Amino acid sequence: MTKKPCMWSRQRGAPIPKGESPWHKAWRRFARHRLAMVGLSVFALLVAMALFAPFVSRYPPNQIDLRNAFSPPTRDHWLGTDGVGRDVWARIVYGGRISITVGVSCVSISVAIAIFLGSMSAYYGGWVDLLIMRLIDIVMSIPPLVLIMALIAIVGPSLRNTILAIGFLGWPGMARLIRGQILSLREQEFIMAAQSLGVPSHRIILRHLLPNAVAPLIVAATLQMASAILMEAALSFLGIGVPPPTPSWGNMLQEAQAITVLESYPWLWVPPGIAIISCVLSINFIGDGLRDALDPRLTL
Amino acid sequence: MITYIARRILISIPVLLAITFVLFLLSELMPGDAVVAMMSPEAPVSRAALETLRSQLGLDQPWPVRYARWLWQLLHGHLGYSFITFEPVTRVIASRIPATLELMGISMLLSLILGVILGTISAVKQYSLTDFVLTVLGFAGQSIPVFFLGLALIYLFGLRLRWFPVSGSHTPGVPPSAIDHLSHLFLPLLSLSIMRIAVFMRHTRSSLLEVLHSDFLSVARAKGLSERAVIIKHGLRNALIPIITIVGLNIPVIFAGAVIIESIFQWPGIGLLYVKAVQQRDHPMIMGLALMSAVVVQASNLVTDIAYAYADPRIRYD
Amino acid sequence: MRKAFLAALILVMPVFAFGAGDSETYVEGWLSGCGTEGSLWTTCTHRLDATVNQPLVAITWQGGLQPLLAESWEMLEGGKVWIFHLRQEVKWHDGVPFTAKDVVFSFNAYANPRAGSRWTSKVADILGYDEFQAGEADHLVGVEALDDYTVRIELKEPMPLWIKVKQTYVVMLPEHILGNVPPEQWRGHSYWAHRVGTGPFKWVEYVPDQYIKLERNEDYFLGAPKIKYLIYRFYTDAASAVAALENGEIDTTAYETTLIGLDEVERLDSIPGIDIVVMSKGMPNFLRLNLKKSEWADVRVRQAIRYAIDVDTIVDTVFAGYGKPAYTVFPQEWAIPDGLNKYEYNPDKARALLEEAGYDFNRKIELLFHYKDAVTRRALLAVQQYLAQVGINVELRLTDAATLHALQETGNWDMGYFGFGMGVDPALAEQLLKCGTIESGGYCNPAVEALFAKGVQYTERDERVPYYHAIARIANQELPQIWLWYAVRPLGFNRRVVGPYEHWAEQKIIYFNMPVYQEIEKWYIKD
Repeated sequence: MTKKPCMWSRQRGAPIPKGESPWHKAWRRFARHRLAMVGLSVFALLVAMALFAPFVSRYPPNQIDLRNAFSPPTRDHWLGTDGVGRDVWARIVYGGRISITVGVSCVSISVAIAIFLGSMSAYYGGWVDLLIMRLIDIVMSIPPLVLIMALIAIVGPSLRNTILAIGFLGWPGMARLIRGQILSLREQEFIMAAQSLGVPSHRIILRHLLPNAVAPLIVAATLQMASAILMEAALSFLGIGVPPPTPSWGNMLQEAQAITVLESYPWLWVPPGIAIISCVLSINFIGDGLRDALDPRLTL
Repeated sequence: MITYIARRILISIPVLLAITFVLFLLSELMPGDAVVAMMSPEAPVSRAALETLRSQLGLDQPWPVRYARWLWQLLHGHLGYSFITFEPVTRVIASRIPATLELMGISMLLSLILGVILGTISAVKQYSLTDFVLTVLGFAGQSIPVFFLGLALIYLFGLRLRWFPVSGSHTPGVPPSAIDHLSHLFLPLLSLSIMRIAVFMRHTRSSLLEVLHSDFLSVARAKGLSERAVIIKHGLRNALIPIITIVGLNIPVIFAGAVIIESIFQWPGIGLLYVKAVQQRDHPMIMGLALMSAVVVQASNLVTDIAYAYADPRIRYD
Repeated sequence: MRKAFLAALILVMPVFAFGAGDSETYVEGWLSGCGTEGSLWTTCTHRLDATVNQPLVAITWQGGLQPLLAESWEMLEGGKVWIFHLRQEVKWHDGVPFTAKDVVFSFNAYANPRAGSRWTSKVADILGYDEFQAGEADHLVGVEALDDYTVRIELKEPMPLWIKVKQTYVVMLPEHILGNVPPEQWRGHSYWAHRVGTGPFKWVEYVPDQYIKLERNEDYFLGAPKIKYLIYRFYTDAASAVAALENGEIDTTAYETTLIGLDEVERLDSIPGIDIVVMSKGMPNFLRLNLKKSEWADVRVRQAIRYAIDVDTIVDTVFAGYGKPAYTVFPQEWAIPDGLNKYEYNPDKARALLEEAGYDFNRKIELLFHYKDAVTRRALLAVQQYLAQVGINVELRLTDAATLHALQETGNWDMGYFGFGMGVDPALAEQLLKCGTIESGGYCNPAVEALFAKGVQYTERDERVPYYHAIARIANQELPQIWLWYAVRPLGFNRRVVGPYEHWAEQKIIYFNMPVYQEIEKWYIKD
């Protein structure tokens, strides 16, 4: 039984402000979404930790101390040390820099390409559509892991190459999504109205089509960011991720990939595991909140 | 529609060729070749032997010649022989596909059904505790790197509880039995499905939510239809469009196999084959697998687009 | 639906007989991708050359020699001519009798240029080899069947150690199956997916990427094996293989690669029924430098690198005390003289040497390596930090075999971390220090080559010692490769099988790339 048979009840109790910009309204709706606010706070915390890494950690993340390896958490090393005596807390905090950078950069690249190509393809149709769809097919034809393996074998593993590789392979799905959305929106009356009014194409795309298509895209983009962070971890598993000694949550988990570690040294896998989960969770919650906030059909 | 399909099929041929060419170039660009890939850096090899092996595989020819040869073979319905095992590529791929289809297909089906059900519940009970718990669990399942999830499940169910075997698709050397096979399937299936349920759940929830607040549903309710009919008959049908996209996007994944899961559980599927082919610079195998992948992607894209047209009558193709 | 499924599974749990627990079957863990590589080209299927196929005379787990297909042999002319008396009444697994013609065929197969065998160097000392390789002859004149059960092999020069250092690698192949096949087609031949041999076990089936199943050979000439089935199971992932050992799905882990990390030894060993043997790999691990580049050609730079690394601490901590620091090339104790420079950890001295040599501290170098295991990674991380402390900045790069080879061949590399197998005999180290090979990285010292040549001319160890000591001293001072430590590898055993653990523990060193006789016909499974 649904509690809300009518959409106004969402804002039950809240005064309906007049003359407020859509962004203010959106923010208000976002703020009402509890999980999204939690997500935002957690994510902000993670970003802050990453930004201020040198100030919150006592040891450099790559400093080796062989005689003090596999040490459990102590007052000195808050999360213990890893197999070569490096401070786990420091590596988590610095690792956040890498993982968050990977997530944000890859998604930015993918989304930019996806929006551009997806909307072109859907709006113009015809040859443009054909060509772009074929491009999507080509990129999607090979399992991404394998394509990235081949690329990295050619250019060598590094943070930059990892970001580029993941970013350039992540757009097809979102492009198709945008294309699908725009294809169905394109036939709606308000678009036809704009066209008959003589509004130029790029305006139609940017001002009318995209904002309406954006909700599923936001969901997809948040999933994509999560998947980029996880893809980096997968690449670490295959030995072609961010090269040592630079820490990332993914390669920290990969270094813990052994039964002995699982059983006896939980401080090696629990922190990066929690870090990844909370980061990905918070990104997803934010995405959820954004979807709710930006849905134009809920505007009053 | 028929012309559309025909045109798509016609266009896919040069696309497939382009894909094989791109893969061929990538294979060429990767340093080393099949002859040195299987070399252990700890054991000496004579240069003469390397050259002999290279010429046996035709690697001493310039690359345009090799690509042309491969195309010629393809036109005769032949995908060549693996550089490593010398078996016909078609036979090797055919023997590995069933294992992959089984694992990936069942996992996809399971995740889809459970995901849609849970997503619907979540959307209908938006903002309730149920929604909250499902959302968090769903996301959490999706945020664990799959290699770690696999190892954790091996540890829990294989070593601690000793309920399931930890590797392979069946117990070696004994006559095949369904139960034996299922017990080997369980852990990899679980690992994969945990990841996927969240995806379907999320998308179902979000698109159903959009639909639930729309006008035509209000009309349906006003007509006096039961809430259930409203949600399922009218709501879900329209909400499923993005789901179609996701399923369509995932069909190639079914064929591609999950490389990491197959590595960890030693599941004899296509994913492992692919990774080994890349590592061993097995060009015919890489090309054969790429071609197969490409055909699957083309086919599934076409099917998805047609499904779009049926699901949303407003879509028309030029 | 899931709950019901789970419940059903739990109910039928006792019915499961998964795992190795069988009293007739012995399961060994093996490396994925190794199964059907033929003996002539393989670097990792040599187990099959001990269980299915066999050489004439095999090296034993104690380092001695075991007559197998050759019942006895004679060494004539100081090691230039060898007469092998073959065991009679031996049949191939398909019933065809084994005779001298198979022996002649096999030696020729290894030498045949058209076959492109990786191990052709093992028959390179036989008379007529060069002509055969050059195409001037169509067979090895040095190998001759005197009658059905006697084979005469003549070498180019006397080499008393030939039987141990070279012959033990050559495996007998059936002439009646491969004899009529053109050599170019041997490699992909279906024979390798269903071998016919003379050994204690017969081939039953091969399931790609899953397992190979063998069955006891009732007519085996040393007595039918007590174990009925032998299964080799393939694994791609190290953690999965270890889990399989723990839960009984395999009885032994593979030796061809590191599956058990040194930090796991204690925990695994304490599991009842499972024991670990930490084997020596019979090889040094070292940093190979591209000596064609001027900065590495300077011996002071190489010595500086060795002084900069605290090998003792690494061995103590990362290797958990297993393995030993290496100051020279040979792992064999008898080949190492006293008085070698131990290159005690001294970063100041390292820095001084680097400055003296005019090393450019702004260089960025890649340290290439191919070992995927965690322990190696940790050791290299430590090396990276030690080098950074003296101003040498390296980036670690994990590569696969193909890339590694390609980079070395183009000369586009600086530093790499390698090992080189020489467990059987120090003579095998020759390839590592020989002019013109890839393995030498550009090192060329004719004096060393001459010493190696002399070393194999004697059988008595006392006579050989001076030569190897001399080589060891040169290797210690000049550091053609920067010797770090002698590698070890833990192997895991389930004690329900009596035989594997006992033999490996006594063997102590892993002999790579060759079949080793370990009395497998006598192994049995405890009830």
